[in-house]
Amino acid sequence: MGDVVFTVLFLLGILVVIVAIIMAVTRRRLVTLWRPKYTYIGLGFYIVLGVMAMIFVQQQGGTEQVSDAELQQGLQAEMQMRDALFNASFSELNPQYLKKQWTFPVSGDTVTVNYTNQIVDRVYINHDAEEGNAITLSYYATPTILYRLNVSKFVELPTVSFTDDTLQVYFDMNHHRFQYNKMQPVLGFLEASAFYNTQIDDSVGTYALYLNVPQNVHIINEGGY
Amino acid sequence: MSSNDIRMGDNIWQQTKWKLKAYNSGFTTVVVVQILFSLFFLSVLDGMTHLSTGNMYMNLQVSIFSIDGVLMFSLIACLIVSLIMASQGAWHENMSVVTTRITATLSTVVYFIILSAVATLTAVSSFYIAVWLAQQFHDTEWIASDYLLPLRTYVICFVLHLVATACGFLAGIALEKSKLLFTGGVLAGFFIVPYVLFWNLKGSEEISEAEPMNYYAVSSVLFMIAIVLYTLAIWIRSRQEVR
Repeated sequence: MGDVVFTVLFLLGILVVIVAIIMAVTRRRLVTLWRPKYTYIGLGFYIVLGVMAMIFVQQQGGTEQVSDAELQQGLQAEMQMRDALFNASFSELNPQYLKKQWTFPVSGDTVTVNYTNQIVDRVYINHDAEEGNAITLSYYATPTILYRLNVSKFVELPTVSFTDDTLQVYFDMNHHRFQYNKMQPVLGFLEASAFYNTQIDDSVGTYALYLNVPQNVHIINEGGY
Repeated sequence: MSSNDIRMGDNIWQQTKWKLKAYNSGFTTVVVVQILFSLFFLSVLDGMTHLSTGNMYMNLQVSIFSIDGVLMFSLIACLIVSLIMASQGAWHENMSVVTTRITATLSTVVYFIILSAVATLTAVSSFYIAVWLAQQFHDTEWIASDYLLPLRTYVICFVLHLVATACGFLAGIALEKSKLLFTGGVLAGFFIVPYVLFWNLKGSEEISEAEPMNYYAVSSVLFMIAIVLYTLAIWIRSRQEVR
């Protein structure tokens, strides 16, 4: 923004120099040089400049905010996933939101889950896999919508490794920060109801890690903490 | 030709034209204040309001550019200009042309109405120029929105300017007449203005389900307040012309 101030001050400086040159050439003071009609010509010019700026501003696109229907869909997906996890109805997890699946062969009969972060509160475990020696880790993520902006594309997959029957799940804990500008022409102090309404659908999106293991495989540190 | 032969309307119009020329600096003052503060909101505050939201994983910050900041300082500038116009010095200058008390006061009111209309247009211009500059010089992505100001914004800006000039004019006249009257008026204003501006806003719980504000109703109330204040000002300034 410093550039903006610099540019405007530079233009104002040029204006002052031009006026100073005119004053020097005509040998008249500004008070006698300036006529009232110049003020109104200047005002007219400024308003025309504003209209031109309005046209330019209108041509500027921008990131679209999601519609009510999309927001509702995201909320429903979130609720459905939370219900399925809470009730341990893992078959009801919507495959539409499966982002990645890893399968690892197990050499022994015990697997240690090493998981330490707070993005997903726990790893949900189910002993429902087919008999054998393979475990399957699935990562689900419903659409992430913040301030009606779909930021799902920025959601990263966890880093997963499996060595010596130890499953390591690691999320990049660097907090993702997004910065947007928005033009809201209506008067803020009279638009309190609209402001509060935008706060209600503030944050939508849930993430889940689901580990499916055979009956014969024992899990250590099931909570994943 | 006696001044009694001149029609009042013509007299008001002639004097308004004279005032528009003589006090053209009132317009430039308001525009300069608008330019300075639109730049201030752009550069220092980087937007008028900031919203922050997120979850444990992400953080989203939205800088909102609205006309409020420019408007606020434009109103203050108009208030100061009208205070100056109500001063004894400006009152004596009214006698530069053939006039009567009522004509001089009415022409000042017409000047304020024109000032309010122009200040509304220049405030909107300042706002759009500021947003356009922000778009050109700022790397941040913009959220698509309706970039056209609705008509109600123009209407409410205009009536707010009217109220500001009326307040300044009346306050200036009251200050000339009596400091007690001025203090009483300012105190009354402090109680009345917030009540009028936020009359339809209730507690935060109710706000979330509140009906959209009827801007035209608010504008009408503000317009009525401006008329009452101007009438009071004209009434205080006038005296019976003895012919």
